Amino acid sequence: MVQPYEIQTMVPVRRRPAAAAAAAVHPKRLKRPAGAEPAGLRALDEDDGLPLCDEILLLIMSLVPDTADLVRCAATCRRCRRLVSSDAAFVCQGSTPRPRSDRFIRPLAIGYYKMNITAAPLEEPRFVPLRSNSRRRQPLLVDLVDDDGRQILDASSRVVASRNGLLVAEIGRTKSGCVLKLCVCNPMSGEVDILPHLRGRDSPGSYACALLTVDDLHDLYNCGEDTTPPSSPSSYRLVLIYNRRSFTAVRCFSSDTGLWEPAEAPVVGAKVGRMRPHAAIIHRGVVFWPRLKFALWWLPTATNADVVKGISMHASFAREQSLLGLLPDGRLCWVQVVNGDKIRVFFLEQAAADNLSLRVDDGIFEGCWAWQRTIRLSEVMPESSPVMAVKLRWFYERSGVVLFTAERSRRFVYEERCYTLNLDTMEVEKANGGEPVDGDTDMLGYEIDQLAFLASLGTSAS
Amino acid sequence: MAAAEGSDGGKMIVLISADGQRFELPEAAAKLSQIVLYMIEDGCCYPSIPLPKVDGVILAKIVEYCNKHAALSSGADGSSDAASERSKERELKIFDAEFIDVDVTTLFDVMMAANYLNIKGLLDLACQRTADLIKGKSPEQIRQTFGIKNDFTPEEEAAIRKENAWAFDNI
Repeated sequence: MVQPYEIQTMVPVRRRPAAAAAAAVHPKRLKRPAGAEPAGLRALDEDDGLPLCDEILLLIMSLVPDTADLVRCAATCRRCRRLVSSDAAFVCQGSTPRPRSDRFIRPLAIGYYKMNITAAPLEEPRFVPLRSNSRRRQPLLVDLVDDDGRQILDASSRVVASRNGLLVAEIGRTKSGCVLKLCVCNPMSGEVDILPHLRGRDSPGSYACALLTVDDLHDLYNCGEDTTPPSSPSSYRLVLIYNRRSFTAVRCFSSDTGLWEPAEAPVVGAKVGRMRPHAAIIHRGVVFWPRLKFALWWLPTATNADVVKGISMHASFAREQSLLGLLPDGRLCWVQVVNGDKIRVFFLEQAAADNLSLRVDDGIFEGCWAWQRTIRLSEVMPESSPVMAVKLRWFYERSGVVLFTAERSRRFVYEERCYTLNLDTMEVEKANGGEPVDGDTDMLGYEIDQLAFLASLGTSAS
Repeated sequence: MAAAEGSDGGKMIVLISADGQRFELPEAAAKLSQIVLYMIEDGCCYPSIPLPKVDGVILAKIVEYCNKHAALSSGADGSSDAASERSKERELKIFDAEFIDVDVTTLFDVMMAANYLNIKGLLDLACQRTADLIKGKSPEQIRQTFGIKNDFTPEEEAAIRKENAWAFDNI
């Protein structure tokens, strides 16, 4: 991709020799043995009349380009369903990586992790499914254990980012905060990478992070920002931003090298005011944190690690009561709470869906926001008592679902409950049967990846 | 026994189909099949190679594919400049597209024979054609196209459709 301008910087960047790179220990990868085959998927029960053997069928499925086509394929007969679900890894990654779907895949959004931020003693993050009667296996954090069977995430842990089936969690937090211990895990597969700790001068203090998963890395490679494609389907890159005394700095971790970049890169052009963890949106290498009013125009790479261009974003997206999401078809969606009891949904239509443009001078998205729909919660929500305070919690980008909580009084008792807004149908539903939420709760949505989704096709109907 | 010589001086290999038909093809073409290649290397390809799992009609198709690909991919004629390479590639693409435009029964037979004979290019071609035929079809249309029997219980089928309604829109 041709960058629209040249970066000129006078800031000298001192690099530490590679040997002294932050405790260069390869991340520890732990893996739980795969679960047993779901009951009810046995070759014996199959009678499809197809002359082809399993191997050929799998080869064909790996060449079917679209996820929706695969789902319909799995719906033709029992053998096809068994093959798609039990060999999802082969079907997904055959000869070329499967392109992501450009439509919402509603079943990807399966729940959220909730953390009570003021509880004493501390509580560990807990998974809550969106549908209380879901038969799907839950991505429980207690299942993530090290080689000795010890639980990795405990009461001192916090989930800080979630994207495409992966979670980033801070573990072993202490009050002093002089060491940052992060792990990246896939709670569906049980894989955990414990990243090299950042301590002493490398420790970032307050930070925000963004996780680029394999689809994002393919995008980077395809638009020429990365010179090598991701080495495996579980590759990822973690981007950490934090404030130093006079500037905002970036540091990246790549699963392909197993290392943090040897030195942090200063950001030129913009600075984050108050650094706090917030959800990031990622589009072709541009990473933006709407609530921090901040975007990284490109990421440090092996060839360009010295300086990173940042831009300030338009303040309107930074409102507490709004959420921004990038939809699978390339549209931007902006969800906003109005007057405390209405949710407005706007879409930014793109002429060329793959060319999201940010105006560099003031950080406004080019294009015209089309106001789509206002949802008056008191009309669509099943209970009759008036809606009080609405908080938007998570944007499930690939599923087209927005998670929010609403407080309402019931016989003079205030209760906050969880709901979902489906952007396809604009319908509001209770999440997890309307489980009450405690006041100071943080919620991070979790969407499974394509592999876990295809694998789940086998369990859903058995 | 001495190997038969083809018109261009290369060795010829004889394949015998399940129904006893004889197919003679140049060694270079026959070697596209890994199975035949191993038999040639082991010296057990004379006087002929019986292929009891492949019917004559299908073997004729396969021989046609191997002959074309061997003839066009061998750079032995010395004209291996970039332009002629490109035109050969184009010709092969056109040939492949016409070759694989067959009914589903033949497609399946070719696929199974290519799998048995281990001809990777042909297997990929046939699988890709099948995958293309699946694209954009409803489960019912896929079953009809390929003659798949629906062995789901009505409840199972309803459950899959309900949980994945998004995949069945506009189909």
